[in-house]
Amino acid sequence: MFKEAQISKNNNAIDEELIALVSKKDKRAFDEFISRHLNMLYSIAYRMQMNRADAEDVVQETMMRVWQNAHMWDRDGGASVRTWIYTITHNICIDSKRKTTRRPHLELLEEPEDKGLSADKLVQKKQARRLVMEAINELPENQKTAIIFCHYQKLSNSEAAEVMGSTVKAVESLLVRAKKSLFDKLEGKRSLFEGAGQ
Amino acid sequence: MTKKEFDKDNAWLNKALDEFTIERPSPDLKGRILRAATGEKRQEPGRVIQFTGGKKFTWPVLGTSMAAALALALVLIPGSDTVVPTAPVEVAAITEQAPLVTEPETGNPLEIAAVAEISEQEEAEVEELLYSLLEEQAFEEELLGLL
Repeated sequence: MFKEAQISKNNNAIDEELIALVSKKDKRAFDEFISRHLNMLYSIAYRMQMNRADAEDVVQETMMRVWQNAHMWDRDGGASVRTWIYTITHNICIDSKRKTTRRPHLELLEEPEDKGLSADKLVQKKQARRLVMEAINELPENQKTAIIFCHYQKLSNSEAAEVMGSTVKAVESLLVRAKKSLFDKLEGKRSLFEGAGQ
Repeated sequence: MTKKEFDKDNAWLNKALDEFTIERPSPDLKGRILRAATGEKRQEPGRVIQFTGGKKFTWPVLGTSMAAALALALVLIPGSDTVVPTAPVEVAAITEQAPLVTEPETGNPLEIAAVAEISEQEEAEVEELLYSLLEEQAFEEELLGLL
């Protein structure tokens, strides 16, 4: 536990240092900052947008705002750099959905590679992934967001509340409702999930 | 379902959620971000677009890559001749020069020149997007403003 906290503290310190440099338009620091956060932001954006092109656009826009507004990150405001950029990503996703109703489809072409699995297992895993994507995509937006930040990004409820501009209680409630809903949607295929990871 | 039952099955549900894995983004995404943010030009061939000055064409819904691909679609998609802009066009923040595209019938260079290496999947996606946008009045008005 101490070790995890220490690593987290170190990561925060590195992020803060990089952001300070980015605010002075240091390109190497920006390059490093992107490397540290690109995959994580992409995974958030992908789960919010459900397709690669939109997710990459969201990540690009997030990083553009970081480049332009790094000086606005407020160390004394209490938010970590990580929650600050997650908030930016979240806001961009919300804006994007408000502006358009285009392509609400799930992108199912991008399938995970599972080298070494039998063809049957691969089919099973793909089916499991599709079902989960569909179930998550059908959730109300705020429930979906709570699941993404708390389950997938492992944020605490209070961090998720900060990113979502909500309260801890509200996030807890969203998580319970989301999980109940997902449970109901996926329960009928439970055997598929129990076998998929093996 | 009671809370007790739900908690008991939560582990199973978490396992199910973990099936929604994510692959890595496109290998050139970081480069695109750096170029877009810092204004540096790309040295190697790739997804590129050139815009001359003048009237701006912006589509806030689209990110740079989609805007570039859409601009390309406007020029290259069969049957889209009627929507090829004849006025100078600029799309978002673009970082690269590209060869001019000529107007098919006259051979005159179009003042929008867009070249992008996009996959068949992206091309189909752009085509679908283009036609869906064409159905929207706002988009038609935007285009009329360009013609």
